[in-house]
Amino acid sequence: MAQLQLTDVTKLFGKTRVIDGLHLTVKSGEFVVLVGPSGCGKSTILRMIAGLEDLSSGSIKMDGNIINNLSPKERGVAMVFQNYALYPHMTVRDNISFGLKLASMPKDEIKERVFDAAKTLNLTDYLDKKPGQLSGGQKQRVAMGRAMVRRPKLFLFDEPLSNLDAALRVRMRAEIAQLHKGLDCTTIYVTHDQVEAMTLADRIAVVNGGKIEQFGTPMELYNAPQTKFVASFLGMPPMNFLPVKMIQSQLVPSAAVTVGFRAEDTQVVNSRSSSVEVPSNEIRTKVRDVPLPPGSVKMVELLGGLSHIHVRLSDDQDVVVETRSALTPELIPRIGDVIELTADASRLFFFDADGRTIFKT
Amino acid sequence: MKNSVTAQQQRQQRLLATLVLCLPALAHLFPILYMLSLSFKSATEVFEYPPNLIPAAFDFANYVTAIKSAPLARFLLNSLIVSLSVTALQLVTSILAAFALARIEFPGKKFFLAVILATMMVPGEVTILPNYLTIARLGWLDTYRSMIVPSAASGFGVFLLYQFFRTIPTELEEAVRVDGGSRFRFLWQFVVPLSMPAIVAFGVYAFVATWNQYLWPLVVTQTTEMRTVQIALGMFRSENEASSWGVIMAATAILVAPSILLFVATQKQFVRGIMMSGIKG
Repeated sequence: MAQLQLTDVTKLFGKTRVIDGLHLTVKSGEFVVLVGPSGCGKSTILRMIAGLEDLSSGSIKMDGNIINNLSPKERGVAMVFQNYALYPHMTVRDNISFGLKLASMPKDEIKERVFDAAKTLNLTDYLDKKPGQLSGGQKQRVAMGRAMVRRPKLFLFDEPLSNLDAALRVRMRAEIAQLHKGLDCTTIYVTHDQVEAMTLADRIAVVNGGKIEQFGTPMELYNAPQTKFVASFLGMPPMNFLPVKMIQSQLVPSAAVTVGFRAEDTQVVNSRSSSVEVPSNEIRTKVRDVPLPPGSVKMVELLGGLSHIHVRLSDDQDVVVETRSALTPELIPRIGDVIELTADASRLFFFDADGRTIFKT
Repeated sequence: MKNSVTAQQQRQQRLLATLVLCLPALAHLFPILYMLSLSFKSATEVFEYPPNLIPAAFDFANYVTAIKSAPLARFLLNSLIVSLSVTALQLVTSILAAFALARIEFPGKKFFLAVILATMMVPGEVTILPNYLTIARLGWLDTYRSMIVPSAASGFGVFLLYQFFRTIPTELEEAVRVDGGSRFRFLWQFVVPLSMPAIVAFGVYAFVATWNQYLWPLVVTQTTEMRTVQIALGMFRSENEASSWGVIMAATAILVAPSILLFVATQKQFVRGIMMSGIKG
């Protein structure tokens, strides 16, 4: 376990500033997820921590010691790569034990560690196979085994699940969470998938344009986003934004302020189409609900237990509304139906022109 | 039903393709078969008209005469020493240079690559004179060194392996680094085994090309003891004139056998290497 501290870290590729004065402190044993859109610099941060990329300025400290100039090996880190990066000409056993052999570990201990890792990861039957004979999930496990056996101070994951199909991703996500609990090892995990970030992280750092927008627990980020970017990045479907401000519980157009609200905090209160009767549990208009401009249905996504209704409001803004009950066929709104919506006033977020959250005082 | 039709069509197409490809293959093979045929024929049968591809009797007399009349073993040994040394040296230099160009960032990389590529565009004949003068001043004439050292590096080899090495994912190298391996370890324990098809292809190419060299060994060797196979064949022809084609063909068969055997033995890897690198030799 290691404590990690990045101070004023900057990375230039040519003249492009990829990482700009980044500060990040990871506590010992913590699971930190770096999340952000592709090209935001999150992988570069990870690679700098691993020692695969030099810093242009700033420092990285591990347990209080500066490690800027140490090789990956000397840093005691292990990394799981997006494409697994397994050694294709070696068996699973050799893949897992390669690092230990390089460290000239006694053969008996290597054997023991490989066996333990294989047992934990359900790979015992595959130890003599080559990576080409394995499925995606198995390859991923081998990559984790290779990292695990080295008992690293710091575990680094670079989008480890992005090459897997949806079902496998969910399973491997659970396995990684379990693995982290079992190993009790400081972990930094890079992903662009906000679900992975929300489910795995002790704390999430949302990275945008080479900077950390916000660093906090998943629920902190979800309930109190400090910027519009963080608000838009976490949550599915993404938060709705309208260029309005609130005056006396009414939304009025505004150039300076943007209001954000999540699809799940929205309600359909009335539908002017005879075909649609909104289920009764949807029409519990609360005192604190603010009406949105009326709109017409553009698209309906039925997801089983819940549905997403895409609505174009009268002021040409698009919003998504989530209904939390399964819609029976006669209740499904038709494209073009006119509906009225409200949003939960206690769950509105206000952002200034720079995208920073305006906190209510 | 639809599937079976397409399968049948596929078979027919394959058959047609095979037949079409057989024609140039035969054209290439014919001289070798004719050489073998002549090597078994008696002096009189050689000049029979119309000629028969299959000799009346398989007579090894020509082979015996050929071996007795010239130090064939010595020529073979010379060619073998030169070809193996050149192949080994070219492999080492090409692997190192290609690795540096493909995997390491350094200033002037593009320039060096361009210069190496440019060497492939200069015909060998152009460099014979300056190379000869250099070798002569070094006092290396009529030695193995004179045939080996000037061919120690190959622009083609660098380029072929460069193309191949570039296809190895960067993440693999990074994984090795994180596991604690050095760059050199990555080269010999990962890049080389993973590039075997290309390395074998280039090795065979280098061997055969050196084995078949004529002009340069002719220029730098003087004594019979230092002559290589190709020059020996030339000598053979001028000595025997038109009189005994059977003997000449027997000698030729003996002397080309090693390079043909090498190619046959490594054909699979050779073809794979050429195909995977997308370059034609």
